[in-house]
Amino acid sequence: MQYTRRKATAIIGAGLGAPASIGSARAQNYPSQDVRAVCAFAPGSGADVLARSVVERLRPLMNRTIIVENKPGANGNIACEYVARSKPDGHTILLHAASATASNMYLYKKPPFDAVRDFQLAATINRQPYMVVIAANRPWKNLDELTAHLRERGDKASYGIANPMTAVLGETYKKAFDLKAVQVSYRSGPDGLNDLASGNLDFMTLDPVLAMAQAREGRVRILAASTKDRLSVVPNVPTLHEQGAKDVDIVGWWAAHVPAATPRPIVEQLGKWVTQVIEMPEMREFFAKIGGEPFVNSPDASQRLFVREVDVWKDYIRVAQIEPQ
Amino acid sequence: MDAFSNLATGFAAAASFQNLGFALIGCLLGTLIGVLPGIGPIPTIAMLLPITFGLDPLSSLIMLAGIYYGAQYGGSTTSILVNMPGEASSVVTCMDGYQMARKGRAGAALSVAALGSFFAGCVGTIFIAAFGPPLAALAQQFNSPDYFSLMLLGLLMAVVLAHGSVIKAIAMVIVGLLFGLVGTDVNSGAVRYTFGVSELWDGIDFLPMVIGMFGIVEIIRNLEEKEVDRTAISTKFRDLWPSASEFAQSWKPVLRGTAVGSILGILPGGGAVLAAFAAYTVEKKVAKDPSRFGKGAIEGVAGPESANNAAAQTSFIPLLTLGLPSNPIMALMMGAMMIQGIQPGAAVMTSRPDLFWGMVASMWIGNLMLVVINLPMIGIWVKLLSIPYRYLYPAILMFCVIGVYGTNANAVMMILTAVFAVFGYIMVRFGCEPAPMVLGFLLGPLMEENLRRSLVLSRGDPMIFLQRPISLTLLICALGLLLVIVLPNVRKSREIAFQEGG
Repeated sequence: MQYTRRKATAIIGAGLGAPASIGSARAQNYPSQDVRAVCAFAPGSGADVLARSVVERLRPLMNRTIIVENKPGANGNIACEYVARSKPDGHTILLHAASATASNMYLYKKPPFDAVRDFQLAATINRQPYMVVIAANRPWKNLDELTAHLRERGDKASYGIANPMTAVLGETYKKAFDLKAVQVSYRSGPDGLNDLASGNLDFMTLDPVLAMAQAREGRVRILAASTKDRLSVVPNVPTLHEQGAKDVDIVGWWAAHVPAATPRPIVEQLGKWVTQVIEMPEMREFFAKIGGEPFVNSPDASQRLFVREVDVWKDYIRVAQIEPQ
Repeated sequence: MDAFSNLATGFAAAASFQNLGFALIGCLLGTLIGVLPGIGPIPTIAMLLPITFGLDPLSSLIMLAGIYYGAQYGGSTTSILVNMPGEASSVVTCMDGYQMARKGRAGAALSVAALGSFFAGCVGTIFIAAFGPPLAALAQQFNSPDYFSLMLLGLLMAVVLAHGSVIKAIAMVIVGLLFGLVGTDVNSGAVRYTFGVSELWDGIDFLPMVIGMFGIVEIIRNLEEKEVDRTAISTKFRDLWPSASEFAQSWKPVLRGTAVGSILGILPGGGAVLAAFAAYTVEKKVAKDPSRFGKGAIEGVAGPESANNAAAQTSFIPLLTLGLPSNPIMALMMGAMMIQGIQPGAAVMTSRPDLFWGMVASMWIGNLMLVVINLPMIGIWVKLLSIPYRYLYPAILMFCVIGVYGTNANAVMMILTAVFAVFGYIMVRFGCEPAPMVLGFLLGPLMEENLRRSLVLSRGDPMIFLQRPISLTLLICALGLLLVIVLPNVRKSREIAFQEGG
C-alpha cells in the first residue's frame, strides 16, 4: 500500500505524508554507515566512469566511504531491481540513466520493478544528446543531403544502432521524413564503425561520447543531435527538431535513484549533495568531455520529469517497433 | 629513425623511479591475481580504478597495464599446475602444460611459458612502436562478413585442437555454440533460452563455465585416482629448466606464436583468444608427430603462450591509435584514461607523446620485470605440487568459489559452476574434451551476430562473403583447413576398407 501512496506523492510532486515525519530524526545523522553507489554497467564502461566521477566528489561531502558496486546485466534491470528492493534509508543509491530506467518499463513485458512506483529521484545529474553521424569520407554536408540520399536509396539504405536509445533515434528520424533505411544492430557503437567507414552503412546513431571522440579523430561527421534545443556542449550541431523532424526530442539523462520509501529529509539532503557535485566547474568540464552538460533539478522536479519520461517511452517503443521481451 | 627517438622519449618517461615502482606493483599484483583462479584482471583493474584518480596519468596507466600482462603470465601458471585457466586465452595452455606437469616437467613448462611470453612481449612492443598506426588501419578494414569468415576459420581450428575423435570434437563445438546462444540476441533483442533467469540475459558467463569444466572436473578426477606420492617431485634447478632438446623444440613455436599473436591481437573481439587457439593449431599441424599433442608436447605450451602475450600487447593498438577498445580490459583502460581527462586515440600520440611512448616503453620494462619475478618463483610453484592433494584441493576449490562469486556477487554463478562441473565430468567420461566446446562458446555468438548482420546488409545475398577479398581469403583458408582435417580420416577409413576387402 505504501507504494501506491508513494506514486501519488510523486505525481503530485509534494513530499508530504508519513515518510517525512518518520525520517526527520534520521536525516541529521545521514549517512550513518557506508554508502553503496550502484552502477548498472561493467567497470570501465562509460557509465562506470561517470558514476565514479560523481562518487569521487560525493565522498568528501557525505564524509563516508562510498563503494561503487557494479551490477551489470539485463539492460540495467538487475541493478534497478537490486536498488528498488534495498533498504530505503539512502545508503543504497542507483546512479543510472533515468531515461534507461524509464525505457525498461516498455522494453520488457514483465520488468522486475516499477520505475515510478519503486524509485524516488534525489537529483538529476547530466543530460546528453544522441547523434546522427556519417563516415568522414561521405559527401553529405548536412542532414538534408543525407535525407535526400536516403530517400533516393529507399530500402537499399542501411543504418547502424547499438542500443534502444539509438534505435529510437534512428526510427524517429526515419518516421519524420518517411525513410525506408534498414536497421542493423551492433553490440556496441565501436563494433559498427568499420561497417560505417566501408560504406556498408549510410549512417549510424551513436551516443555522444563515441560520436564526439570519433569526430575529433576525423573519422565521422556529426550531422544532427537528438535533443529539441541545442545543448551547450555542442552549440554548433543542429538538432533534428530544427531541421524539420518536429517530433524528435530524445535526451539521455542521469539521476540519483533511491527506493521510493526513503524518508523525505534524506532524499532532500542527498539531492543537495549531488547537485553540489554536478555544479562544480570540473564536473561541467567532465560532462562536456563525454558529450553532455550538468542537469540540475530538485527531487520533485526530477521525479516529475521521470514520470513524463516513462510515458514518452510508450510512444517511442511503438514508433521504433521494438517488441517487448 | 623516428621510432627510435620516440622510444627514447618513452623510456625517459617510463624509467623514472616512480613509474618503475608502479610498473613493479602492477606486475606483482597481476601475477598474483593471475595465479589465483577465478580472480581475473577485470575486477582487479576495476577495483583499482578509483586509486588511479590521484595518480599521475602515466603512472596509473603503467600500473593498470602491468596488471593486465602480469595476469597473462600468472594465468598460465595455474593452467600448467592445476589445469585451471584463469582466463580465455590460457585455456589452450592447459592441454599440454598440465600434461607436462603430470609428467614432472612443470618447471620446464613454466620456464618456457615465461621466456616465450617475454620474447613475444618484446616483439609486441616493437610492433606497436613501429607499425601501430598502419596495423590499426588494417584492423579497420574488417567488416561484418570478414568477421564471420574469421570466426568460421576459428571454429574449424577448434576441431583441430582435439586429440581424440574428430566427430566428438565437432559435437563439442556445436554444444558450445548452443550454449553461446543463451541470452539476448543482438539483432532482434529477443531473450533466448534463459528460462526467466535474468542473470542469463547477457548469456552464460565465461568464468563459471571454465572453472566448472576445467578446474572442478580436474579435482573430481584426481580424487578418483589413488593418491600418488607427490613429495618425490624434484625441485632441483636442473629439473626446473627446460632441457636442451626442449629448448630446441620450443624456439620455433615461440617465433610462430609471436607472429600469429601479434596479428590477431589487433582485431577487436576475441583476438587474443583466437591467437592462442590459432597458435596451437599451427603447431599441431606443422609437427612431425601430432599425436604427442595433448600428452605434454612442449610446443603446445610455447606457441600459445607466446601468442597470447603478443596479442595482449598488440591489443593496445586499436585503443591507442583509434580510441577503440578491442576487449573488456581495453575498455577499462579507456575508462581509466578518460577519468584522467585523456581522450584515447591518435591525438594522444601528438598531444601527449610522453604518455603514449611512455606506455609503450613501460610494456617492455614490465615484461622484463615479469620474467625476473617469475623465473625464481617457478621453484616455489613446483614445490606447491608436492603438497598432498587432500590439502591442496580444498584450497583450490575455495579459490574457485571465491573467484566465481567475487566477480559479481551472484549466487546464480555458483549454481552455473556446479552445473558445468557435473556436465564437464560426464563429458570427460564420454571422452569429449572441453576445449573445443569453450572455443565454440566464445566464437559462436560472434559468428552468428556477424552472419546475420552481413545478411541484413546484403539483403539476404550470401555472395557478400565471397565478394570481399578479406572474407574470401579467410574462407579459402577455412576450406583448406577442412580438407586437412577430413582427408586423413577419409584415407584412414579407405585403408581400413581395403584391408577388410583384402
